[in-house]
Amino acid sequence: MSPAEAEVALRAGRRQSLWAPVFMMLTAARRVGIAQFAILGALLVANRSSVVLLTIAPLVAVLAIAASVLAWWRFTYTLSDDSLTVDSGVLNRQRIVVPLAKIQSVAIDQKLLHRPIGLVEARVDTAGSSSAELTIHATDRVTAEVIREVASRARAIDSAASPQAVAGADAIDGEVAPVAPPDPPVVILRRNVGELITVALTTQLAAGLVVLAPLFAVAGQLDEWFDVPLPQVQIDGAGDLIRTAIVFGAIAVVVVGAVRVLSVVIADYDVTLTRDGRALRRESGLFDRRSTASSIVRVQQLEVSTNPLQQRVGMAAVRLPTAGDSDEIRVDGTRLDELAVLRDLVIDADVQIDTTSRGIDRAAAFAWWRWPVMLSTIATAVGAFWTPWALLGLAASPVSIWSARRRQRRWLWDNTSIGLKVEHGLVATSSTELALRRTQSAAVTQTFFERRRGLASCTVRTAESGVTVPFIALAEAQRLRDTALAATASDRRPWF
Amino acid sequence: MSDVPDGVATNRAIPSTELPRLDDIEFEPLDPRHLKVRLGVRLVPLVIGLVAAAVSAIAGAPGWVSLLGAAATLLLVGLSAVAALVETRRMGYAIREQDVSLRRGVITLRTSSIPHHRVQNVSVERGALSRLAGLASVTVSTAAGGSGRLTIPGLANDTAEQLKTLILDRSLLDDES
Repeated sequence: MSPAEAEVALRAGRRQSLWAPVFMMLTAARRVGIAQFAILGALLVANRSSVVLLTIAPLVAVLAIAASVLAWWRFTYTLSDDSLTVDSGVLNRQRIVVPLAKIQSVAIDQKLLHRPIGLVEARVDTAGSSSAELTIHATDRVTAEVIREVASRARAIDSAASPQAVAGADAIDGEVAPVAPPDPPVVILRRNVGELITVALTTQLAAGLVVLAPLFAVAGQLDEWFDVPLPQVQIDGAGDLIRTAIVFGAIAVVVVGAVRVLSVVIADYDVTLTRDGRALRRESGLFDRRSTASSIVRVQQLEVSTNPLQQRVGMAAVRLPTAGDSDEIRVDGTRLDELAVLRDLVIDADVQIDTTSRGIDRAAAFAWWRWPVMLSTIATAVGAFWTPWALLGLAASPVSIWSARRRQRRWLWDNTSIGLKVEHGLVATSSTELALRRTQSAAVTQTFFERRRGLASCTVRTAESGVTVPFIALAEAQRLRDTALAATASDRRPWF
Repeated sequence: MSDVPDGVATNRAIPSTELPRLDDIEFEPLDPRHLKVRLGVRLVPLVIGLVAAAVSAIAGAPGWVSLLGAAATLLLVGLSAVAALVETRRMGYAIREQDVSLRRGVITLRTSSIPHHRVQNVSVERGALSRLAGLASVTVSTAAGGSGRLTIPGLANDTAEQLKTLILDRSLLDDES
């Protein structure tokens, strides 16, 4: 069949190859679990004489075949000038219309089982979901290629018809001319082994000390308040149990730290972030050298987190969620001056927000501590029947309350008509900054707790992540939502 | 190509008092038949639960076991029926020039909005019972994936088709303008 014939057939509406039911059954079987079938087979072999099993098994097989043949019969795909329509479903009829210009990719796979029959599997993917939008289990290669070809043609026409797609992207770089000479690649940051060890230790301790976070925070603050080295812990007269615990804890910390350092050095060896024209390229790795490049305009938001240790060495962990799942850029050890360069690259200057001044309602602290306090109190009361030591659990409540209060006080946010920034964290500070024009959807949510207090949360979702501002006044949440919607309605630069 | 496109040039700040407010407009209610469908679906567990209770009584289980089973079935189905009633009353959708919104929720209330030009695809679904009632649901998805999706249930068949066409048209129209 020639491509032209295939296209005509596609426009008339097509079914998958007659082999498709086999692949559909295999997919369904994999979903049920191979183990279940193995057990069923074993049962059959063991009870060869069982009448029930001998009738049920063929019945199930016949039903499965009938169902997949029916599913194959009801699954048709039709090409029109601007969309691909798929009708499917045996009992529940479903129709999916995918605009051709929005198809991101058509993956054509030939799996082992496809080979002898010379067919392929085609997966049509839009940006809308992490899994493929629709899968054609078995079709001939020509048809699959035609779908891919038609989609890429539609995309090309689409981007030609909207000049601002190109100009807008350029405007981010401050260039209006459609054709600018390509800039030479600029290295934004590069980490050597010594710096990577610092990175591994500072980020690792933060992760390892999550349990001891409140203590850590107090120690950090004591240090700041009194400008003295951390107080020495006295273990004179401590029991064997405590001594063993400390020794084992220390060994665990050292081992985990060493493993962490090794894995960071191997994975991030010579990590280099380069700006190459309109793309950001990250390269790293000792054995497997991994290189990813993503277009700067597709970066959805800037996420920065620093714990007190990182702050002391002047580094931050930076994450750049980028539209398209796999190519998120992250650098755990970004110096503050490099961070400023990165921020200017991914967040427009007028969108940037320097200080966040608005807080969230005090009720948030109550919402966060009420369950931990209730549960720990009940656990303590129950435990006290066995051993009086359980009464130590009473200390959990003040700690929960204190940390919930601290979290609430440290939760800050602010927005302009085009930007949004939030900062929060118990000990470490995480901040997220984004341009509101990247809003994919916006929602105002009121839990029962919030509703009784006239509060609400506002969630702004971008193509890769998003931000939720919880426990703010309902009117404020609505205003943030309306601002986000207005920002995306008035600014038509593409989000990807 | 030297002029800066409109979308980029006009980016003036909108004072918050001038913002188009979503809460100022009326949300459209769902088709009344939707409630019947949702209640109808609940007949299945109700019948199964009651039949199971009856069978257990006939099979010689202690009387209180059967009674408890029947009572629990009634209570659970009743609660979920009340939830369905409350949610269906509250649910509503709104289409503005630039976006589509849905209000829903029983205990937690949510209002989600998706700008038309962020729509990646629109699908119409008809469940078995809904098909009998002549109803359909419209699902609008964005590039944010599962969390950025919005499903408007309980629409009459032709309303659903109209809605789908309208949103699809607007999503394409925005790309070209």
